[in-house]
Amino acid sequence: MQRTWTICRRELAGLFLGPLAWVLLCLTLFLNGFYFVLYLGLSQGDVDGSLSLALGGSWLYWGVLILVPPLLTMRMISEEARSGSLEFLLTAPVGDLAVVLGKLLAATLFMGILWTSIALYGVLLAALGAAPDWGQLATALLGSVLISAFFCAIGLAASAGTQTPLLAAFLAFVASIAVLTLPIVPDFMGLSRDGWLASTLARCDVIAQFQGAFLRGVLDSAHIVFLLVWTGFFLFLATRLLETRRWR
Amino acid sequence: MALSERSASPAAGTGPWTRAGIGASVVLVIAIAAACAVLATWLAARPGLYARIDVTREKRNTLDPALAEILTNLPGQAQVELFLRDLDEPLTSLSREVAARLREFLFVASSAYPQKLQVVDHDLRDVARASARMQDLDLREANVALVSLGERRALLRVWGDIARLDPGNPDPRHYVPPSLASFRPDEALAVALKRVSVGQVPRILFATGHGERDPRSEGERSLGFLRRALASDGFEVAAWDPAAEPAVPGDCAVLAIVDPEQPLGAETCDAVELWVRAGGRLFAASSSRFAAREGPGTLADLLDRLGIVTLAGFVAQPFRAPSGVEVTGDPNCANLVIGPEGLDPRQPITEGLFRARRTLRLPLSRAFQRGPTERLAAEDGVLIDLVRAGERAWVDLPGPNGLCDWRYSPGESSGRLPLCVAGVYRVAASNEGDVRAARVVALGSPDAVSDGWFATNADFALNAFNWLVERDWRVAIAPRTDEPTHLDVRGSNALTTVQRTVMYAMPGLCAALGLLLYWRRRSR
Repeated sequence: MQRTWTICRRELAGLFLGPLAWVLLCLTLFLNGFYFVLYLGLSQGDVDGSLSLALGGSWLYWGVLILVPPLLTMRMISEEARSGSLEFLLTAPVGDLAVVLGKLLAATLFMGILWTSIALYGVLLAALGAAPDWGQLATALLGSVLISAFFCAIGLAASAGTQTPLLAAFLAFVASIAVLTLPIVPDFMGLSRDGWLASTLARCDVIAQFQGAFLRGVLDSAHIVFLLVWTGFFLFLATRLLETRRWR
Repeated sequence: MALSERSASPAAGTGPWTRAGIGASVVLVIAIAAACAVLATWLAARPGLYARIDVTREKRNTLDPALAEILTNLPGQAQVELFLRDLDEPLTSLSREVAARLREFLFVASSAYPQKLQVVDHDLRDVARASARMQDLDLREANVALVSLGERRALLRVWGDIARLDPGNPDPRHYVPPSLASFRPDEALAVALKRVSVGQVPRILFATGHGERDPRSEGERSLGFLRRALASDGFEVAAWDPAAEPAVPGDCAVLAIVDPEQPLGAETCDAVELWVRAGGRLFAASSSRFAAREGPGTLADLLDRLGIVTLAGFVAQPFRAPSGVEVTGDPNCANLVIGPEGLDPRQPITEGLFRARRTLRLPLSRAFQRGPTERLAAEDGVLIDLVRAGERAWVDLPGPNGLCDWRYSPGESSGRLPLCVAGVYRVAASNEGDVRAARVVALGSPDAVSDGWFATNADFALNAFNWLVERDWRVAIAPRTDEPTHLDVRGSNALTTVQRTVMYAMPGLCAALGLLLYWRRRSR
């Protein structure tokens, strides 16, 4: 665990010592702030509605989730593989899982900082006399962190599968879009919504799960398990892909 | 292969076949991992293995305990099919608000109890598909929620059962816009779920063979709309012909006798009276054309035996013409409009209608009075006047020519005449010791439940039949009063403060931190 934490700190330092993280943070904060204020004005000051929009109810939120994790994770493994520093890391007394887990933690922590800064809107509103529903805000924040970990895990798996960061980002981007659009595949295929395929894919509807539970202030163990299990799967996939490098 | 070529090939153990084998094992392991992930996800969603905790301040995602208990005890999965359409202006925004709130409520209910409740929202903009489904369900109106469990169904009207509208005041001088008077989806759903899950499907038999109104046909004087409404409400509707089967069938939950043109006959009256006194449930609508009040074997005779005397003649009351003049002597005097002041405020059939300030239309109605005590002793049961005419009503008797003149004449009964009576009769305990009570609803106007006037009186009719089979559950659920928190964006500078903080200060601070870090690294 100590090694994992060391790798995590190293990755975080690398993120925040470079311009990418700050640019992403500034842009996301500005855009989110803009739409937050816009909706707050249009809704005559609906506090919970505006916060829900900023933390899961808008296209901007999902756009950030699709774009930012691939950008964060694209260089974590593929760039190191290309530059040759990955071999040093893999020959160090650190397991592959610890390496991948550390990098995932770093990416997730970054996303957590991003979402927490939006959750600070709630603190500001409380100071102005319109305290939000803290329970609902907390679950939305937790859900955002869990979903971010999920998409970061997809990004890490893509990064472990290639030596080209841009290709890794592209693969992660496509995979993220595929995950989000899986539930509407039966509609495109003209299948019945009562069929086994439609009902199975409906269970994988990440957006519906998030907006149906976390965003409403509900902690649903099934949704939490779903996100943790599939994050673990992509983590496992990334670890296996990293292992195969030894054989290439 | 030459030695030089062999030395350039991969080292032993990592040849192409070895790599293929490793690759295949990796793929297999990943596939197994994916299968495990699917299994874990599936297990986590099994009932009994997952938990759902509502952490909101107002507990917006938690159902009322009464409704939660009903859902928990459902024997299977109930389905709610929504057929919602916007109302025309000026009610469009109000109807959209109600539709959104109803969908939100049903989402919360189905999310909390996914094994017990499924919601299907039919898009009425997809006319072909929605129309086909409505035809399958024999539905002819929109803005309804059909609750079904197996073959049993209960229909909820959005405007009436779930939400009530305050029309406001359209007068431009004192304009008050329409508003939502009440919104109680949890109560409505609870009652509907009880109807489809508790007890057996009640069977209503409509007597035939004496010129009664026909539930199998549709037309102004037929009962087709009533039959469809009863079927939608979870009743089974059939016919009973006393000529073919003299005794009332044992599986009859309610016997309906609506406007027989000929006498029922002494035998039939005896059979029905016997059946009622043994705990049966009777819905009787007096004949509008068979004028005789007395006479053995008539419906009036049957009701007489149960302590309900049908007065001769038809109830009339003055009405106000468009010019403002009060009119009598016109047949329209017999088209009675009964407001909430004419409804019993406590009896289950009319209580909801009274609270909602509803109006009933009872054209060409007879009046009732209590019979002599030897017919119905006080200890045998109780009669309640459900619907009464206004203070200025009277019973208009036909003249020598057999026609009514629709003018009050001395000697004609007047006042708040009972137009619909409900009776509960104590029945002797059976051998098993259980005590049942017989129930009777006597309605003076058969037209009130006919197709021509059913739209106005539908709720009254359905309430009557539900009361007769004791499906008049009252599930009291307090309405939610949670108000969303609002920031004052008009009267103060709050919005400006928020804007400056979230759009400029926070991103600016972030940028400043980044630049500071960059400058410190450069200066080292």
